[in-house]
Amino acid sequence: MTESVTAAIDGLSGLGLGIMIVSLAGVVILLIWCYAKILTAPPPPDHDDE
Amino acid sequence: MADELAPEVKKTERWGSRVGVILAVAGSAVGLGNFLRFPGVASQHGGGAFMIPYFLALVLLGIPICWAEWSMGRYGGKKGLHSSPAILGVIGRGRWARYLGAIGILIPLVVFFYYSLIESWCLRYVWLYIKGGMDLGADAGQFVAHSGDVFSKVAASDANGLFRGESLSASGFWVAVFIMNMWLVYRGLTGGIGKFCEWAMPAMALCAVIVLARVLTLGSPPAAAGRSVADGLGFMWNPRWEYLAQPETWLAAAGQIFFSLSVGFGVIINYASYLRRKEDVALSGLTASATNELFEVGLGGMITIPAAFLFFGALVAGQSTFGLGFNTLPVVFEYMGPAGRFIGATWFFMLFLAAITSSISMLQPVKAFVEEALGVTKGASAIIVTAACAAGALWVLYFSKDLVGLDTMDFWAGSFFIVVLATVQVILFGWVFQLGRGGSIFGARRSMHEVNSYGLIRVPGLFGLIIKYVSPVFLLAVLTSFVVKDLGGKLTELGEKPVALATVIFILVILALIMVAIRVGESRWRAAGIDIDNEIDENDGALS
Repeated sequence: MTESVTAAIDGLSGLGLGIMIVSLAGVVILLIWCYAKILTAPPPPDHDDE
Repeated sequence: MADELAPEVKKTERWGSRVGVILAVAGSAVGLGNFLRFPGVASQHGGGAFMIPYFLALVLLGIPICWAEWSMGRYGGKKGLHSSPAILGVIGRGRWARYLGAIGILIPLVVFFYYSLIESWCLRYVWLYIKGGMDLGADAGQFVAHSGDVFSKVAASDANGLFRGESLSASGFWVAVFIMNMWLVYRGLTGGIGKFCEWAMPAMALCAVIVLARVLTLGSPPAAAGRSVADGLGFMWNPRWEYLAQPETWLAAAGQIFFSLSVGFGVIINYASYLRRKEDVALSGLTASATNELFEVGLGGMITIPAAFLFFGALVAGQSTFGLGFNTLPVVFEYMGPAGRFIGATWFFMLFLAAITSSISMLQPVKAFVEEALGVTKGASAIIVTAACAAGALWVLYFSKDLVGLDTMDFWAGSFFIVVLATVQVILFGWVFQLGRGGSIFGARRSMHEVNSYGLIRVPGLFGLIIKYVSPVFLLAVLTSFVVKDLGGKLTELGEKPVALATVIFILVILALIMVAIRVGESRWRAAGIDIDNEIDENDGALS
């Protein structure tokens, strides 16, 4: 796996690789931040509003 | 006030958890387009350079419209309303907005007609891979032709008709998928849709990661004519900056974001109407959008084009969604050897999950509307919705030759009307709702107050101005591009293909029936004393 992933990275231009990493990292970081906030937030105050 | 609605609506349904509703909305958004349309569009419009207009469109168009839809849905839900016509009538303070809301029922209903069929194709491909029926022969030169034959059989696209050889098998898989959809939706929000999405979304991600791992380890196989998977990744991600000077690139990015996030579909507004009164929408909307982006950029962008480019080179550029997913990729899996059978089954199971989490989201708004407008019980609504969906899907199944029925519905309901509804929604939220008591004509304080109420994050006021000014301009540009590029050809097609014309008439008949149901519902809602024109707005005090 390492060998072929390395080959894949070699085949990308430096800029292409950079854009790929920034895009992926941006999405993943945003996702982790969102779910961390959601999962640690208190429940809404009107649980009995039905 | 909801207590005076249909007996079954008396006890308002609610989502069981925040994560449940977020995954349900994300499940609705993640579909075949994430894995098949996005990589195709990106590689055609500048590769890595495409990501600049793409992410700008996400921030300036996608997420703001999502927030608007989540907010409108929660606002309507507070008044006990769950259907797009009723909610837009409240947001737009009147009858014309309510009737425009009919599009919010038409779209999910008509898209379900053909989406349930596509879903059944995915399931049939899984079955073919499992039982070893996807053998494309020993001659690699014939793989493409054989793959095309398989797709033609699965989609029964060789001729019209229902009860003939291939169509009969296609119908069998469709019946199984149809029953699954109805069962999930009628089990309810928490026990059906929510629970299923909480399981299906991680399963989909796991399947995608398995396929991705195989694609990245393909290296440079003998059948790849000297190309390596690196070339495929380069084709997808290396920037071609000259594309940024072309308006088509920016429109393609806006269109991709727009279609990807399920905005303008009538789904988010319905799902959000089941939120608790004091539940957050700002962070939930952002999280659902981010989840969609993970599947689109992180997984879709890494699998389809790199794998297909490896064996087909630049020929993959410009392929249709179906061509890439159902014709080309099975050939790629064939080239993978024995492992290809497992990877193929995993890939199509993933597409099946992506499709079913979307299709159940299309049924829920229709179910809610039937119960709300006609005041019928859950059992009666199940009969009405089943009959309507079966009639529409059988129409598509019958007119399967060259997929004319499907393509026609996809263009009008799955593309054109979506842009129209989204435009209507942002204008209603950014302008009409904003101009209620206490709202200024130029600002967006009133709209943003609704977005930020009970929010777990605070959305900057700038986004109110984006919703008000930038999003409508973006959408009008997408709509204009649509009209200029596609509408003429589609109108000409109506004259040349009787099936296409009949399908459009069929869609218009459905729209008329929805409007009749709105009229019935309007009388019922007024008689029940429901504030359907938003005479009493709880935000009045908050803003004064």
